[in-house]
Amino acid sequence: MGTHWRKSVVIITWLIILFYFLPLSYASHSHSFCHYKMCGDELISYHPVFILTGGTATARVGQSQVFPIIDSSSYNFAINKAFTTELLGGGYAGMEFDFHPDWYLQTGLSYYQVSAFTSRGLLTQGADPQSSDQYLFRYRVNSRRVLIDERLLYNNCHQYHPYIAFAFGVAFNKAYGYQVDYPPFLTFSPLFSSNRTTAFTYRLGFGIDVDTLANLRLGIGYRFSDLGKVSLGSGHIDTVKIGSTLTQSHLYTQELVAQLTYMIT
Amino acid sequence: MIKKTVRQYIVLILMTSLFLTASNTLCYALPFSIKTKAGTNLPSHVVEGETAIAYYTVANNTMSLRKNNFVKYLPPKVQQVITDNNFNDICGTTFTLQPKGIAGSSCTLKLLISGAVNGNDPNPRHHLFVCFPGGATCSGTEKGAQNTLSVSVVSFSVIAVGAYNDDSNITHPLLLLGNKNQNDWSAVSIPIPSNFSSSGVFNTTICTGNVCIATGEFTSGNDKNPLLVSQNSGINWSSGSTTLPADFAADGILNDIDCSGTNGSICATGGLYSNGLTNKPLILSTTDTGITWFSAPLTLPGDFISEGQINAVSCTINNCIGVGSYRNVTIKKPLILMSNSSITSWGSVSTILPSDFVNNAVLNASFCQGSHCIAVGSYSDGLAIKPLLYFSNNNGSTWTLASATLPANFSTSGFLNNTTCVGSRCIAVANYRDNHAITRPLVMISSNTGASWSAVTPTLPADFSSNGFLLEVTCTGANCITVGDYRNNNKQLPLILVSTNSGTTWSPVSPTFPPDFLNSGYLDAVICNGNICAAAGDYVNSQNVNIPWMLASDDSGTSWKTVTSSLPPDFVSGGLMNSVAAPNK
Repeated sequence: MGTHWRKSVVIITWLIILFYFLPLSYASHSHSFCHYKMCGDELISYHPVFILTGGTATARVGQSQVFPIIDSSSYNFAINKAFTTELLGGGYAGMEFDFHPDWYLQTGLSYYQVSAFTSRGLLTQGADPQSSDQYLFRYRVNSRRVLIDERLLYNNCHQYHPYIAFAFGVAFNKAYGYQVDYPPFLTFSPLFSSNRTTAFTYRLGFGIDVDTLANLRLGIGYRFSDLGKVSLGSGHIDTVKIGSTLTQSHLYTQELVAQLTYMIT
Repeated sequence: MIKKTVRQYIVLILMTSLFLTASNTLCYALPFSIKTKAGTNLPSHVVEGETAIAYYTVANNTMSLRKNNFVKYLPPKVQQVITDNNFNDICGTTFTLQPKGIAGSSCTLKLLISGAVNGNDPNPRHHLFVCFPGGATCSGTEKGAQNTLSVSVVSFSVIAVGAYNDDSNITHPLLLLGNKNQNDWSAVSIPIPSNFSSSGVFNTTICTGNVCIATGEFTSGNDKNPLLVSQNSGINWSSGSTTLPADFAADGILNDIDCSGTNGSICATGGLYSNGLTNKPLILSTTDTGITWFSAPLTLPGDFISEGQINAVSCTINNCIGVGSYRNVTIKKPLILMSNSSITSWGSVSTILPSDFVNNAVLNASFCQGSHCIAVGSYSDGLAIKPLLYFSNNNGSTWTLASATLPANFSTSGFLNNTTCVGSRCIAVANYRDNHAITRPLVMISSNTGASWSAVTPTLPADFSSNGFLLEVTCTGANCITVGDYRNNNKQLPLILVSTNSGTTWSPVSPTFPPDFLNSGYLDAVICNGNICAAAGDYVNSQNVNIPWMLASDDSGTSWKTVTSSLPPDFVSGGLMNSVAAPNK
């Protein structure tokens, strides 16, 4: 998975190193690393939290498909199986409940969007192998999500808070920009219009947040997401409307993120 | 990540290339292969107000029977035609094709073009597409300029034919079209026989209605072969296919052509061929205005021995005649062949020779209208060469020697090269040598359809000194024009004589000369359509190269101007024009 992964890992490694030294420098002014909690106390407090997230999303976009025969010709769309990585960004607003000395629960709403993925593949069309031809095609996908976002952080009186996260919500997916490299004066090939799909989406993840300066945490995380269905719009071969289109039933992404949390106490 | 994607792409592209190169016939493998039909050319021009025809071969490129295919898109101004006289595999409105490789896997798509066609139209739906019945699986025309239909509209009013040399000194037949205003001529591409090697020339051309034909010969290896092309509406020229006489061995030459009047589809072209031993008259005929030709049996004179040839052909709606000469051992005699009404056979017609005939009789020109025909040439009386004139009142079945009064200063070398009649007024032209050994233009006229002739003395240019020749004469009503050349003291100049009284008196006219005219210019042909006239010949330019020379007049020949002509891209030298014709005359 190459460069994007590597970049993410490098950035996150530096952040980790930063998290380690920043708190240490701060800690020299304090006896304890527990900022918000008295060890052993039973108080429940809650405060608003806002999280800014940036990172990468990696997915295999597109799904190979064979259309039913149209006018005696077959259309076989073979998607390039490589993963692609795009940038991801989002924001979260919620409340953190410190309901237990060892556990914090964050609950709130988040919004995420990914910059456009490109799906590529090779179309083989023809009436028989003798007269078939192959054309490269591609289209783009972008996705925005609104989620109910839950995070459970562990507080062990250090400033490190490993967490697990679960979110679900609605994804607004758009498939657009379908292009195919066929010779326009020699033949016709299916062309698809843009399409928006609304789908159920969920996400599971884990990571670690680290207390740093007052009211701020820095964190990194890994998440797995199902963005739901992505589908291009209606297709035409020249002026002939066709019943099939390119569809991907589940767009799965794997995300590596860096997060900045701000708390209001 | 990216490197892996790029690697995958390279593999995809390589696989695609391998797959595509494995498809043996096309750059893209498509359900149909659509190419210009072999043996035909796509038209590049269409005459304004007329139509042109294009033929494509549509072949099934799949291994299955394909039913009910159809033409989905055509360029604007182009329609599909489903009937044809020449091919029996014309694609219908819907057509079925057998699997590739089996008989019946292709059909001939015939298109009728009635206007300009933009071969570079960016809209794919303005190009030819053939589709399966659903209209989604389709093929366009294969790539390549030879398959791309691109037509511009021209108006042409006259054609001229001849020859030129390329830079390897190979002689090619030349065909020029003059536009409607006659202020521009352009060379038109003509189909070249596959066995052409050199010495191609058009000797004669004619138009019947709006179809024009040109004939001549070309050399293939060591043999001369007849050359026939015709323009089947529009300005695309195709080779005429012909049968040749059974004893044809070599050297076929075609000298003259005529068709049976306006819109007549019957034409005959005559010349000679060699049967390996000697030359014999050659006549090829067509009943479909030049698409297919046949060699009808000729019955030659009983005393024919050798050197038979046809120099001129004339046709009416009744039949055709061919005139020339042949040899009976040592005597050269006039030859007249007459066809039946369907030109499927020709028989020799005997003629009475002049009382002072000794030898070397030849007929060079003929003219027929209604049931009247005239034939002119020359013969020798042992001392001088004198004009020879015959006439017939029964479509050429019998011929009578015409009486002729020669010029007072006639000495010898009297030839007649061309003749024409309007009603009962006939004119015959060429040259003679006078009693001062000066070669002068010879003009003879008849007012009784060629029964008797007298010489007239045309007024010659003031600087005439010698070597005056006349090669063609044409009349429109009482206006007549004859062209040739003459010598002033140091140049050979074009000779144009105009008459307004059916040839009784003539005056010389001088054309405007091309700016690079050097010292010689010749005119070989002239034609008028109403008061618009065209003359063709050649001149030597300042580089000492022979250039085709086209002249135009819009006042029945009273004044002439040189018209520029674009020549074939491989023209180098040796340009000459032999004949002109006008459509819808």
